[in-house]
Amino acid sequence: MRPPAETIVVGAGPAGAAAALALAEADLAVTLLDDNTRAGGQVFRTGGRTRRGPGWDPRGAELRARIAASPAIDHRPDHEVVAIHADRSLWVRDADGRVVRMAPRMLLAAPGAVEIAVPVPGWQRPGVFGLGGLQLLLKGAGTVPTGPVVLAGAGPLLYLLAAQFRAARVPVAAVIDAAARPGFSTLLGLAAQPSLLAAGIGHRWRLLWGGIPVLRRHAVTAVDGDRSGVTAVEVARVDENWRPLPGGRRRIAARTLGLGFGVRPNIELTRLAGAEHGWDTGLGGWFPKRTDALETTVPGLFAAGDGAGVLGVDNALDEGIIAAAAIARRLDRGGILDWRAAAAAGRRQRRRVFREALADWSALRPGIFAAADAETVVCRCEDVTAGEIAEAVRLGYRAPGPLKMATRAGMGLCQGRVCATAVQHLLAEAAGIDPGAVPPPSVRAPLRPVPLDGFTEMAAD
Amino acid sequence: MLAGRPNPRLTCALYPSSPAPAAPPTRFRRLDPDGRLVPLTVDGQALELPEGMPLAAALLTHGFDAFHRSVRRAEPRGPWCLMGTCLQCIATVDGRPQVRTCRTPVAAGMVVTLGS
Ligand SMILES: Cc1cc2nc3c(=O)[nH]c(=O)nc-3n(C[C@H](O)[C@H](O)[C@H](O)COP(=O)(O)OP(=O)(O)OC[C@H]3O[C@@H](n4cnc5c(N)ncnc54)[C@H](O)[C@@H]3O)c2cc1C
Ligand code: FES
Repeated sequence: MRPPAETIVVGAGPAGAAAALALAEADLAVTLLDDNTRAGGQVFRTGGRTRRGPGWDPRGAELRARIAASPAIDHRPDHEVVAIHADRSLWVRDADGRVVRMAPRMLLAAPGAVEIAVPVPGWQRPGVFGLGGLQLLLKGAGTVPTGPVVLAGAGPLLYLLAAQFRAARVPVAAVIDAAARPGFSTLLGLAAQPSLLAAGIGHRWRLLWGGIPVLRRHAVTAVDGDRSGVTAVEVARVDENWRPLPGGRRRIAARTLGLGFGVRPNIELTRLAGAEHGWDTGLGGWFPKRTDALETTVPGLFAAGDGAGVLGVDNALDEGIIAAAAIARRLDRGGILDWRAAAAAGRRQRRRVFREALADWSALRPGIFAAADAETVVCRCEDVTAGEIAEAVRLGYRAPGPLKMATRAGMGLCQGRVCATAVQHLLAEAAGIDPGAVPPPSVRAPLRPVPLDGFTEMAAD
Repeated sequence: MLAGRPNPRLTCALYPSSPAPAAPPTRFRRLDPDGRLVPLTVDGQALELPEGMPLAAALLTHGFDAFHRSVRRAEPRGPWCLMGTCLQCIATVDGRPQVRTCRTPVAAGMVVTLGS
């Protein structure tokens, strides 16, 4: 195996892959680390499929072919970064379970996004998935629910997945959207990206055509089930802040529920490295602060794609190029990529109007967390309820760290990745403060469970 | 799915007079019914699953909904994120505990123990 290159890119999704390919074009060697067996990240995750079908994207195969064909790119699949230090050095768990240390001169974090979980009574039952999780089953494994399925939450993925399911003949009982119908000004903003707006309208029409009911300004307020899992969901109207309104509950039979309120940047790498972060619901939540060249506040650590702000696949591809150009300049290979980076920066700027309209329509609103009652499990790993969190806040715990010590919320196997957004909002609600005023959760290494013998090997290296 | 149950919809189309199937036996089905099947053991039961398919997805299409029990309430839990983040899909695979089945491709001879 080659020694690690001067530049390391973490994440082989659109952002990381675009960066690696651009760096290769500038004759720079790059090591591309990703914890999946195949490159492509979330959008292009169609590796395991044997046939084309709903959710299949040809760009994934093209990307993989270009990476494989590039001698400058050392793509290491099944390599997971489990720690990152302020000097940019990494601990990487390799495909054999050993932990190896790498110390690049330039580092690009392109880890993508993770789903935002909104707990409601009974959401921990088998048969309840994140909307993205259901989409990954479709895209990455060609696996679909036998139905009836209820899809609930907010944002574009709700309609995209419903349309994909319809194409795959999955019985969708209802689509439950917390957001209101997009108004005229929202549609005008979305028209800044005509193809995306057209795609969205197309999905909506396909649902109408397929007779799939869409309830807007509604949310799932409880999940019923038996021993095997979900049997029905309860839905209610919500106000403009997405808080469920009293009365008027209705039940919909369902064997599978997809529940998703969008995705948020996966900030564990940039947080662990000590970079500064900001809060913006339009970007999905906490995000690493960056310069125009996409460098974080840690020198030599760049961040690109949805891991730095959820702006979608086209933006991720562009940010990959911008970050690559900046890294090339830093390594005295400047100039070569500059015109491409300038074009990408222009496109990125023009997407701003679209993004603002999209966030205005569908970005997470705090009222939705009122769907959790005192008995609702918030932290699935440690079975911590909303009532226990509210009680701890009443006793004076006002930050996720101490709250974790008091309740164990976020202390389990997933290290709080699933419940972080919910804990933050429940804490803010109970303390009567703004969610953005709650400090971001702390992160600790190793980021994933690593077998102890993996570390022994590192010491011997 | 070659080894598993017949696709209920297909059966109905072929035998229009047969009664409509009751609730489908599994929560999930496969769209791409090809690929090589390999033998493995799940909770002592011999199964044939598609090689290379994410183990969590393969188990879901075989009627496994719960993969482990939660720590405090001992409630059944199943996969949620399918991208390696939530660890709700963990099982013991070939003696290794807490393996994320959503990121583990099906391989011949695997021994899987669910904690449900
Ligand atoms: C479940 C899900 C479904 C989505 N579906 C769509 C869709 O249909 N259409 C759409 O436009 N957008 C979708 N998105 C949004 C998506 O995030 C972006 O459009 C796009 O994938 C962003 O590209 P990226 O390169 O920034 O991140 P990603 O594509 O997420 O790629 C990041 C890669 O980094 C890897 N990684 C993360 N952390 C580590 C680590 N510590 N060590 C090693 N590797 C690591 C990840 O496994 C992943 O392969 C989806 C997001 C999610 C989470
Ligand atoms: S389903 Fe979330 S980690 Fe596997």
